[in-house]
Amino acid sequence: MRKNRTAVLLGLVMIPLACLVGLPFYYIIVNTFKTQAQMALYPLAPPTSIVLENYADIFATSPVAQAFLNTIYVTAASVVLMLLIGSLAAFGMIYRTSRVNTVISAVLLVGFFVPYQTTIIPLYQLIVDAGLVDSLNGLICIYTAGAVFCYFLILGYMRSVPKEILEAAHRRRRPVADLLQDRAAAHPTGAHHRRRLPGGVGLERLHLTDDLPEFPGEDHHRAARLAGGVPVHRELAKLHGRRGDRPVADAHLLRRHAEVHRAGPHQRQHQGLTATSEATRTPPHPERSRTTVSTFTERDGPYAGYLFAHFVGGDHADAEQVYFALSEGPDPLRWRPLNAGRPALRATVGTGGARDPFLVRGPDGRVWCLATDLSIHHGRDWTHAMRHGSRSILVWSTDDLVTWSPPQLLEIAPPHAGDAWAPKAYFDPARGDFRILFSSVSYPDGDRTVPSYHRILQVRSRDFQTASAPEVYLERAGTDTIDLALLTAPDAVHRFFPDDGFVVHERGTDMDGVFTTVSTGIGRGTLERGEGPAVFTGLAGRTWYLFIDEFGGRGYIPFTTDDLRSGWTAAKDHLLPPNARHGSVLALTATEYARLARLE
Amino acid sequence: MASITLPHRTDRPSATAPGDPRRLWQSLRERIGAQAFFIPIVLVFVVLIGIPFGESVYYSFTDWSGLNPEIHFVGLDNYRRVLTDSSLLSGLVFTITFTLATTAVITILAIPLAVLLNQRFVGRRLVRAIFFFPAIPSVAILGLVWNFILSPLGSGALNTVLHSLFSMAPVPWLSDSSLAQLSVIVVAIWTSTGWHAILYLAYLQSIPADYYEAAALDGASTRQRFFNITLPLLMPAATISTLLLMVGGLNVYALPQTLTNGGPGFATHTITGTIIISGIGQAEYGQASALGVVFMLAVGAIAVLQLKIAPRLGRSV
Repeated sequence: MRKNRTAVLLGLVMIPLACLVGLPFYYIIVNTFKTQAQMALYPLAPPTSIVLENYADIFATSPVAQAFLNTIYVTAASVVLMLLIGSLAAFGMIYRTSRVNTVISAVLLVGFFVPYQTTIIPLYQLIVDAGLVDSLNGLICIYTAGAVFCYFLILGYMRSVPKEILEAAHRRRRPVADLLQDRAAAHPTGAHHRRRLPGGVGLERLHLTDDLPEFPGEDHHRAARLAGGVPVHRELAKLHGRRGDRPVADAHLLRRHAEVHRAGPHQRQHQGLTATSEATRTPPHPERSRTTVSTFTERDGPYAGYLFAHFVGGDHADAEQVYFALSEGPDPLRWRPLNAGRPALRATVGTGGARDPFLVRGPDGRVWCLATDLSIHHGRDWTHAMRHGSRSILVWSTDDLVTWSPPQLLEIAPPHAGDAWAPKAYFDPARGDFRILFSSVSYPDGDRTVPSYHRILQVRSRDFQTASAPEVYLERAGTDTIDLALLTAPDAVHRFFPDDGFVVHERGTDMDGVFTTVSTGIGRGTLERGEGPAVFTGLAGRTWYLFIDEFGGRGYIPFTTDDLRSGWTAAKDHLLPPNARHGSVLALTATEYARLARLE
Repeated sequence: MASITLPHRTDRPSATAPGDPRRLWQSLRERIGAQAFFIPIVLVFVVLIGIPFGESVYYSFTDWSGLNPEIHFVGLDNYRRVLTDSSLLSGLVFTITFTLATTAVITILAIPLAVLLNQRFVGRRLVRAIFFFPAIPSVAILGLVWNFILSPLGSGALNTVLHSLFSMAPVPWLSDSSLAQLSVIVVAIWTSTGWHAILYLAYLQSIPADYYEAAALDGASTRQRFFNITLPLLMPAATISTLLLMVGGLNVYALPQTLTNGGPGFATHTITGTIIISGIGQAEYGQASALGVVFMLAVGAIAVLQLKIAPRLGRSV
């Protein structure tokens, strides 16, 4: 009721105001139907009788049709030229950012600020010399200078295409036009956030906002302060103002904050993002903590919670590092970031970036963290990453999950491979060693510009210090197979990998047996696209969890099932770490859980 | 199990052997291929911006008339004249006044207007459309329309209305220096406020409602929410909006030209108008070029200031 009244009242104010603004148009339209005398005497009165003389005069005295045609011709021709020239250059810039391109771009930017007043006289001379004066084509030539503006406009838009989408296109070798269309059609999650201006999309890029500094990990810093009682809206507003591209993370923080708030003021004194009640900090089954023997098959472990290793989305040096999050008790749908949301493990060797972290427990309880040695931020682009990327993976190890060894590189891909991505390791009790599975592109004849595709390769290792010679584990000729993840169930082995934009679930009797498809297109309808599956078993052994990374979108989104023979459904209520991408989840004993929970 | 120890682990794999000519050619070809995308824009830039700009700078130091084939180098004479000639200076002063006034008033009006247009109310779509509409027709047409409305004669639309309502004598809207300047500024505000409000509106709509909910949880008042959420988050929009207004204001030509024809006297003469008249109309290319160069420096300074100051404003709010 009250809302409606406000709507009507505001309407009553705004409509007359709009009428006032529109008055000149009313005036000009009304007067086209009047004689000169009527117009002078009663400028605002509606016409007493419709006089069409003015219109007849116009058509009789001036070539209206010709004028319209001229306008259309000049507009169409110059717009086509501007778009063509501008978008070609913008694509060149995205395709390969070289020093020459960067210099050209800088010069163009300076040229953009040269007002036409400064160049108009020589330009006029030029047109005279070219014999184009007083011709439509001359006009078009001059308007073509607008291509510089077009270039920056389109460049801004192309830059906002997440690199992950370009990556996907590279892998599938699809024309970029396709993927831009995909993106337009897909309405990624951030779409509400992308500014649609009347003058054109992405205008804000023009003033180089995307060059604003990034503040890695600052979300959590700020969140920490929020929990201490700083008004949240102001902090978030500042944050948002600085980094327009993280709406998801911000929303996440807000939800978190709202929970902290509702929980009551006494809990706000806790340090850190994870200011929650003591009850959830204590593992729910303390009696089990006496069992310290670690086993390595998830289903029979006396486990109390989970550790989640992941990297985060974004183009800054801290995005491609290993982050840890701890589950809230036994619930793997609710997480709190560890280490105040800063990277827990950093790639200090290799390319400087760590993606796709994978946690694996050995028979003696020792835990290894493997990761792809790849930095898109420091590196050049996805093409280069696939052709001349690192053939090694990063390896960390720990006995207590708190103190980790420095990272080491383990070369696992053959010399003719272009990369070694998303390593996963599974202990093989029969042989007493780990099977490391990873995806890799191979260029057998040495020419790295020849189209190739990712296959899943396998090496064996006991200690992650040395590895056996690689062999092919899974190859789909001509098609990329990446991000393979396995799940061991009592009676079968399940494997998951992205295919055609979403995730496929296959089931086999054992790792090397015959696999049959259980479901395809997991995530379709919930996600815009998905890859980097992380799969694990619930503590009770009756529920299974599958995290799928909506790359270029929201990051990890959880799915669950109670029956591995049927499909997966999106989890309704969940709180994953902000922007988490490709990673893995490890079950923790109560002791380990308590040790990590104390850390914060 | 055949294990191999790998000797150089930290080496990044290098794909191409350095000496192989085939590989070299391939990588060269790929590199050149990428540069080829830039050829058209570089051509456009050089021919339409680079060379004319260079020529302008050159002419600004000469006495070239555009007709006389003899060109004499006159040093800084043109610049001295530009900075002392009263008619040129009045153009400069009006242009700057116009720019500052329109930028300030439009920004102050457009932000609250955008906030209002973002509320739910009866007839919202229509109202948005009407506010935006003045930005659609060519400025030249709008100038002519307002010329009718503001005509200083007794038969001018506004004067007729004022006369019939308040029995006022005809107001010399366009024939008095200060009134003419004011009129040009008011009409410019009328044409652009709606457009800029829609620009702010687009940004407003990208502010997640969560923020306001959280603020409400914190007990923030409407005023606090406006100053602590809305305004800071509109800073990127404000940067663009004011930059466009500033550059557009300094470039202004069509509106005063059609509304007042630069008059009365030189009251609404703008820099652009002067450049066009003295350069092409009076064939004083050298002087017009000097004015163009001075003008470009002014625009450049404003743009740089904007880009430097705006992000800081956003941060300190």
